[in-house]
Amino acid sequence: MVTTDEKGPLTAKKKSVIIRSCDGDEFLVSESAAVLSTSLKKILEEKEDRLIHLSDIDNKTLAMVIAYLSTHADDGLSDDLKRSFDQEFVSGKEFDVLKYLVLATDTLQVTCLCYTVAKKMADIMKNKLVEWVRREFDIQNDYTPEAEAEIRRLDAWAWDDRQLEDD
Amino acid sequence: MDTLSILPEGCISEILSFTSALDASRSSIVSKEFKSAAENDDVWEKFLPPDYEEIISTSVSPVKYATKKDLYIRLCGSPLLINGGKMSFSLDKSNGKKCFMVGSRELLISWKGCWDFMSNTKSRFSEVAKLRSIGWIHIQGKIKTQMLSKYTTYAAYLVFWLDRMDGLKSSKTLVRFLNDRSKNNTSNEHFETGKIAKMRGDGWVEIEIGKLYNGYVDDGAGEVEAWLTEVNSPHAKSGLIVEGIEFRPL
Repeated sequence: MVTTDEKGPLTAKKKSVIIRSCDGDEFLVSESAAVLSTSLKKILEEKEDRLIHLSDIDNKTLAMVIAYLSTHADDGLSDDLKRSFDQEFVSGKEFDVLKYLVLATDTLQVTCLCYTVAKKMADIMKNKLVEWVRREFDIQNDYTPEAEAEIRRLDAWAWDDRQLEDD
Repeated sequence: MDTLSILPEGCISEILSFTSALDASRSSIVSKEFKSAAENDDVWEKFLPPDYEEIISTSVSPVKYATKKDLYIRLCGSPLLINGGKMSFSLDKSNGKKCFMVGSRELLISWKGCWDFMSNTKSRFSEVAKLRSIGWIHIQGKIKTQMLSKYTTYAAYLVFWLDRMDGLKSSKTLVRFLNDRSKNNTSNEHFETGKIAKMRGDGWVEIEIGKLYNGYVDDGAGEVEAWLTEVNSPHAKSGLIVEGIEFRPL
């Protein structure tokens, strides 16, 4: 973790933002890192009280996003190094971890990271069974069997003979 | 019962836009929220080729569609006649890549006097070419590489009808790039292909002329040419009807 973004009870100094996770941990984000997030940038520009509470995002997810912001804010790192950091960032992560990461990047409007994570999730969910998607996204089927059959009929072209996977 | 995903609909659309048209369509039955996310025009815009608007603007008849998903399905389902009806355009449903067929009128056919151009109910084009007499044939078609999907391997096929499936077995075929300095060394020539024609879903048969890889195109001047020559067994070609040459992503 980058030294300027330490955890602990904090007060926002000039030109920095404090983010509080849903489990109550607070993170201090420097201006150079915060401006990479559209919503943090707005807070920096508009608000006196630069504290934001993310009620859906836990400390682990938040720490990952802040590590990303700090790396990309570091002028000492080349673009190549940043690109390989991005690849490393999503590789090997569980779908569940990516799900909260994409939510955090969407909330904080970190567009580049949101794309990277969404693309990784898309790569994992390609050719997966509907049951897999429901399970991994934690979604209950809210169709009646008749409605489900009707949708499947209308999209019959997409249901060819290919073998779909469940893991 | 909590049916909502932890993710907002926009996030689900974002993820689906990186999958494929088939994955996105199938995900409509996950839940109502997924269906709404999966039918977003922004998602389908990513599945359509970047120049789809330009291509469909040259359509012979106006293309009407309510959503971009409808357009995608329309283009996968039936080929669109473009460029004054000289060519047809469609999409590969699994990857959204572009597929073109150059109609027989646009092909370079040797001894044109030996061929009749006539309408055919099975054809997408207004005319097909029918070999009147027996003899040797040379058929050549080309397309601008700029029109093809980038970074994609294509195969060129002669689309025809012949009562004998082995009628063009002893043909010579060639696929090569023209006018493109970066690719002019690439050609793919086969002698005595030995290939037997295969049935297509549309009532025609096809024989593969060859394959090509379309890398990045920058100057717009490059073309790819596919030809087939058959000098032997004149009687085996009796009644040959040519619909066109198709360039189809593999």
